[in-house]
Amino acid sequence: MLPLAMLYHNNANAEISYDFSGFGTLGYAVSNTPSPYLQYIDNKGTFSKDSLIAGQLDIKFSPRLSATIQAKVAANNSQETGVEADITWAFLSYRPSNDWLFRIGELQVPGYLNSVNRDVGVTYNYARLPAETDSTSPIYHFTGAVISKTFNFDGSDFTVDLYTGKKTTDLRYYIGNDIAGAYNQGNSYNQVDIDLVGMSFSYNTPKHTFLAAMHRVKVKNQGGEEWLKEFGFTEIIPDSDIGYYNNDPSSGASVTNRFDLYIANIGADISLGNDLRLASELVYRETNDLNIGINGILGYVSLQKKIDKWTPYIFYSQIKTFNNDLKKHQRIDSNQIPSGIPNAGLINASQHVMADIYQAYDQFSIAIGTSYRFSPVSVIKAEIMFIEVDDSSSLFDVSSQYESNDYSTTIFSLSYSFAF
Amino acid sequence: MTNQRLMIISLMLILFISTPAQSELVIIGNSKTVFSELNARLISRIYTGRVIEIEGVYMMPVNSTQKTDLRNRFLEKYLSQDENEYSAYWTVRRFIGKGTPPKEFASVTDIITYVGETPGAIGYIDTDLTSIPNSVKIINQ
Repeated sequence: MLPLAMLYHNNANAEISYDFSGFGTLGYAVSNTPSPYLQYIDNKGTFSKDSLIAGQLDIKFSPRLSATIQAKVAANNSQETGVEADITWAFLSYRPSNDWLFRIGELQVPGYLNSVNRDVGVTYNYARLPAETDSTSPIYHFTGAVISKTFNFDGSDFTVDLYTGKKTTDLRYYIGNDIAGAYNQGNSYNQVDIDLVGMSFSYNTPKHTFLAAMHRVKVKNQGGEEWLKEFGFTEIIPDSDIGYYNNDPSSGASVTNRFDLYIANIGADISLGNDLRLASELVYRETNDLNIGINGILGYVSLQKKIDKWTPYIFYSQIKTFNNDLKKHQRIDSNQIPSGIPNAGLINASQHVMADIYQAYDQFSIAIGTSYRFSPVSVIKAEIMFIEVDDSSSLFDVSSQYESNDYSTTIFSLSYSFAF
Repeated sequence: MTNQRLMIISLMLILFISTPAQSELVIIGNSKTVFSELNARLISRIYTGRVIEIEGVYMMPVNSTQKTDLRNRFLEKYLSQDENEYSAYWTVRRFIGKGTPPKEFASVTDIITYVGETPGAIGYIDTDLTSIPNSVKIINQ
């Protein structure tokens, strides 16, 4: 911990200043399908996905020492309904010189183009950040520390961020079918302890940003619950493909209550001249501890053109589980045993649940939208997004009674964001 | 004839004297500040929060309130930005936890008073609007 009394003593003549600010978004989204996208967006329409309001208090003890507290009220992503008040920033910041910055407390995960400002709608033109990339990390803020070192050059700077911290959170799954005595259709939550450490590099000029980052996320299940490390397969007819996937250790299944997730990403936001900007991020995500479908590549590329107060944009975004894992998901999800075999209905239903637990992502989206800025802190946005799911996508909550692969969805979004 | 000539000369003198002097935007600093001059690049970096300390002195920049001609001319001259760009920059910086924008004052008198009383403070004023007291010094013009 920093010797606060000593730090403050060095600036004893400086006055303490307080600065209150806030931001918010009122956002509506509706799709043309009943299966919710990103937990909330379906054909009934929702304000829950994009709406939020937040306040921030900055306390400046001296030019070197300050504190920031930010609280947000938004839809609760860890529950089926309701709103949640969340402390998204609460840190002490110590900047001993122009080049060094130390922050300790509740901090946001750095290393992506918009991860630190993802809640602040006025800071970007998209109606919603591309979900395929925005869903990369299981958490967006943590309790820990960030150390930043900036190297200044003529007209540009290079910053290295090192961070480490912890977070307890609920990981959400959607189970698409009822299995009597085992699973209920609907949302399922696992409370987990997360330890994360990472490093990011960013190079900034007045017009361009380039970044790269690496993150290691250690996830441990609370309460003794465990994940399937390997799925078991029970043959009903020996030496044939007729059988079913399950979590029975005698059938080859193994479980674990922890896994390490490795994420590496690169990104750039480049001015092409004539008020045209190109932005892109590419993320590689892998765990060696679970044989499931979260291993994969995701990313997006966007083009924006500022025309006075309007900024129309288009982006293409994709998430794809690695091919071998995707094929495994397909095998599980499509596995059916003949109806004449005892308990065939229950076993066949269980295969969809096994597939939901396995998870898989194979979708792309194309969005066309625009923002209109009344001022730098007041913006209205509209967007139409077309999403195509090739095999399956765990970003959708698809009930087993619906076709769970090769489908498409169109989403219309309208939002107003402000800051003060 | 002589009277006419005198009248013309008098009118020209009145016109010359009553023409407003070209206002000049200058950067002022606390008179006890160790450095005597700051270049435009450093001033730009101070007003964008990238530089907080120079030669051991912690900088306390102050702005004129928004939508003043003085502020617009300062932003254009030293940061090559307009008000919208500057506000947008600080909106992002504030909400990514990298600090808050400089303190703002509504009048030049208040800026001069604050800079004169605060070690490390810098601000900007128009030289034709007020006389410069001994508590501050011009560090860039």
